[in-house]
Amino acid sequence: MATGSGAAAAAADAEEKESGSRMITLTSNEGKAFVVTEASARQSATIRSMVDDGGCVDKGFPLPNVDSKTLARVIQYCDEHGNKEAHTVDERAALAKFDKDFIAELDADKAFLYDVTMAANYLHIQGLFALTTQCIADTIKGKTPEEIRTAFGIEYDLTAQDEEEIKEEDTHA
Amino acid sequence: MEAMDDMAALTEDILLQIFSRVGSIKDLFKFAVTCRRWLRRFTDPAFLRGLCLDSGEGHRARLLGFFFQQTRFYRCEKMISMRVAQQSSVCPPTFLPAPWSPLGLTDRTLTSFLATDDDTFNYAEPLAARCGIVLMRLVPRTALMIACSHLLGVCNPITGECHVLPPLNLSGLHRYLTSYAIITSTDSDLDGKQPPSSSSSGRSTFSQLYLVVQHKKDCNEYFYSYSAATRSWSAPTMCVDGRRFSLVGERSAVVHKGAAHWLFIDRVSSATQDDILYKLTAAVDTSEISLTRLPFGAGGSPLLCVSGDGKLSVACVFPIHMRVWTQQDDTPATWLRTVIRIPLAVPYPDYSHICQPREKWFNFNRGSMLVLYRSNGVFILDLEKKVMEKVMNCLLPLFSDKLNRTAVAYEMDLVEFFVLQLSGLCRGSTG
Repeated sequence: MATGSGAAAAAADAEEKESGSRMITLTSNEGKAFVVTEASARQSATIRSMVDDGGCVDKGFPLPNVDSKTLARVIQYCDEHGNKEAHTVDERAALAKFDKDFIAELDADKAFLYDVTMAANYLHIQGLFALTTQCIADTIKGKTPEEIRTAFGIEYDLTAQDEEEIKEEDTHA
Repeated sequence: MEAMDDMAALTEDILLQIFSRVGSIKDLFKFAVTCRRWLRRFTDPAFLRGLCLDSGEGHRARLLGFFFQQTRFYRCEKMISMRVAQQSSVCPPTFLPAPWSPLGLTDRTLTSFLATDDDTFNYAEPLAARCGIVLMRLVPRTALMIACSHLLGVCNPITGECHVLPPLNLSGLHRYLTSYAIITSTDSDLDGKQPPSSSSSGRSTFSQLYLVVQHKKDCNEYFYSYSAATRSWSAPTMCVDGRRFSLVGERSAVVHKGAAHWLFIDRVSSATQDDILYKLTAAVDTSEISLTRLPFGAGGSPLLCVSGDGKLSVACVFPIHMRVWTQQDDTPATWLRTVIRIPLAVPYPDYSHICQPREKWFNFNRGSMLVLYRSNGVFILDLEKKVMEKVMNCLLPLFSDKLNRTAVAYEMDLVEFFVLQLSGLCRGSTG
């Protein structure tokens, strides 16, 4: 819970309770509107701060950097994490399973994974950003350069001479 | 290809987040050599500094973390019998990364850096680290070996290089390990001016180990050197009269301009007059050993270090100030004195009556010292700027420790390391 004086905290509490039912509209760069619960929207620190500053809650939030496909996926994550409780062991396990399936699906489409990563970064959704960047990092781990090229679709542009030198360096390292 | 262009579209911030989550320098090297564009990126010092989250030219970026052993087991008979029985839970040294360390975000074991299935380092206690190389005392496989040998191993968690030294057999009587020095391939370079291209990986390649060992029989200190190339130990050379001199400061040597240095104090004269310091020096090229009296009185807790402009120094640490003696290049017998008031970074904790707050100082990068300070955290004192910066929170296991276990600071210039390792390739690919 936020720090601050008792009165302010109580007010924030009341607002939080009320906000449970409040709906917020997010608009993608294609102009498509997505209506989400405030709890879901608050997963994003960017939106959370705008809401707390009493910003344009009624008018909705235009997100010029995020397209509809990406936003839909981001909202899927926020709904799961914002609307559901994660107090008991079972609830936490369910959420962990959701994350696992969510990222496994994203991982199959690297370009889309990058889009979601950028959106998570822009919207400051910490959990989602950690999830996607860790997923990309894990793809790098424990592979040969050739396997990394395949995994990321990196075009091979080194000459035979470069390769020779890399092998030589590799034996030193 | 298209997918590649997409990854290129990720911002620098995001890329750095991803790379710092990889947690393995070896894997990052493999990534760096996938294509020219990444090769160029990973040889760009500005990008690399971002990777180490270096906010400037500060010393702290060099600190990658700490190695320490959670289980005290050296000379613990039980642990050895467990090891012999091969049924104990393994207890390799723990690595605690600094908050910006590219070696991971949370605690991990030393063995997680190594690709070997060998259990050697599962029973090891870190003693010292230098240039990325960690020196460890290994638990012998049999109780018989405890009394008659020192079993040591080194490894470089970044390159994965491991080297288990043949036991230093000192048959019969107990011998005490007084001090040590890790020597790399480039340490024989006297000026430190060797062109880096000629020895791109030598800087972090283990080449020799020096030990100073006290023989219990005559109490004298003996010098041993080990060569990685020949995998053999030298014959011991008596170097210090152990009844008269004691080691002060760090057990791990300061290696400076082609020689390893340790500090000793003259106990006999200290009893009657001022503390008199001596410097034990072992030259890397010739293995020549000398003991020199330093022309100043000690005081406080003396510690060897290197000044910002690369001069050998002795820092005498007092509770609120530090007296630093710096050797002059042109006249090595002359040491100039400066006094630094230790910036009051944190007040003394209130509970000091019960739990004495500990301070433990280490030589760090040129012109800086590392301190586990007043049970509060890890700080780096910049001797030039005279500022003290907090770099990590308190390492509780290091402070609450009554067994006086060693926490070994793991430091390395990763920016330089990447550039040296990869720049040859980068030149090749642009030419």
